[in-house]
Amino acid sequence: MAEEADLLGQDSDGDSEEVVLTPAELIDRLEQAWMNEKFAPELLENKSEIVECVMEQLEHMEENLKRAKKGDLKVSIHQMEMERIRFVLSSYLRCRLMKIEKFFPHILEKEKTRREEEPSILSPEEFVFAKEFLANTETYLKDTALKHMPPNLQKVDLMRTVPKPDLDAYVFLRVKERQENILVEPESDEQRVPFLFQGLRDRPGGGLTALDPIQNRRTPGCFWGHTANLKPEITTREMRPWDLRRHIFGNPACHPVPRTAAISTVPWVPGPWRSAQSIPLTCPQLCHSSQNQQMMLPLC
Amino acid sequence: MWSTARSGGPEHRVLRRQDWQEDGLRQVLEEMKALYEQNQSDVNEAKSSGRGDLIPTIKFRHCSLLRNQRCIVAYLYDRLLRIRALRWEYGSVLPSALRFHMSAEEMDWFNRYKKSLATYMRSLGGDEGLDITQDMKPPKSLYIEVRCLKDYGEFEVEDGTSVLLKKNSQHFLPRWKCEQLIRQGILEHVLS
Repeated sequence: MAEEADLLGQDSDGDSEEVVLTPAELIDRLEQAWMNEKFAPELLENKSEIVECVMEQLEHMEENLKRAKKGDLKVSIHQMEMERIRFVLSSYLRCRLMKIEKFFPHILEKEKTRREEEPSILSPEEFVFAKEFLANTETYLKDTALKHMPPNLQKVDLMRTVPKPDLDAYVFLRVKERQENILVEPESDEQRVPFLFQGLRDRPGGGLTALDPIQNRRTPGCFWGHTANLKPEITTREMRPWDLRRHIFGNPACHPVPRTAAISTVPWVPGPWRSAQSIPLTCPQLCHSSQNQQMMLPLC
Repeated sequence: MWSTARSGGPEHRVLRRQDWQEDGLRQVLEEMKALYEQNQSDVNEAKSSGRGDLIPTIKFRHCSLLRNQRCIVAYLYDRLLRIRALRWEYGSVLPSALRFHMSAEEMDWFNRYKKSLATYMRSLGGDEGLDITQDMKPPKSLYIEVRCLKDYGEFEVEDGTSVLLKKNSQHFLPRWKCEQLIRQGILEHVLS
């Protein structure tokens, strides 16, 4: 990415007034937003500033490439980079559009009932698109069938007929940075998050880390969950899934990850969380995963 | 068409796109009309002569009316989703074979959806916006080997050279230029 900055021949210049981003950071944020959007069951907040910045960067790169000499190796490398970025951007926008089309009555209802101070999940163009989609579908249903039906059945409540996003869907997540102050009061037995703290051990100096010999060389605190700094007595609590949800998708420090083959062999272990002692791992697969360890959590 | 409350119809759900079932729909609508009229007369009778024993029948008819409505709306909505998928697969212009399977209202819906999508894509930034119906797969390489399946004619590549696309000829072309033609079935990606 340093090359890209050279080729751009300009200082890093994100478009938002508050933060100046290098192109590398911008692309990183785009990828983060893309992954979050792909794996979240519902529509997340729109990142139109990132989209705009990336589009601008792509334009700059294209202009620069036109001016560059032909046959230069850099040209094809940058073209490839541009294609990749364009793919990620397109995929991100496609994902959002798909979710808008899938859940359009609920999204529009949420937009109607949101308060002034809350930011909108939709960008203005997406909002227009969603409204047109709703109008289009309603007109179609009415003209084709509903107007021929008996008078008391001529309306269809789209909020009830179109399914809601499944917020109980399971998501894998990985924590990238140390997290301080997380936890929550457990409410009921059903809301336990099983499997989350399996195989934990006290670290000297406090906090918890997973029992995983391969991962010892990683920086302490990189942990698979939000509980990197829990004191042992707190860790006897169970975490409520909906608190996790806020953290997962709103938190730049952790993000959902795709399932890998290693994870699919991990067995489901129900039951309450165990207190932080040295316990032998009951599932060897966790121990030998070579990626950052990942967990499966229900979100609700 | 989904099976209705009383009339028989194909029970299974067809996966491929099917002709617009005008007849099936009309039958269901007529059945609904008949049920409703029966219900109306029963309601009037129940009200006027106080016959409480008609009420379960009325309720049952109302339930089957609701079910018919749900089935119809589900069928129509499912077709809409498939038509939407056509826009993403084939682009703005549909092959004429598919157009025969669609009713006039579905074509209207398709055109309006197309327009709405185009407006959104144009607003994405830059002069022409971003065509997000391209780049469906992650790019593996800049240039790809393609074989021509049909005669297409001259095809201009970005540096000005033009290539003659004749049937069964193979070329090494930039990926993003070919994507559109591959989707239309004119070119075929050769994986070797």
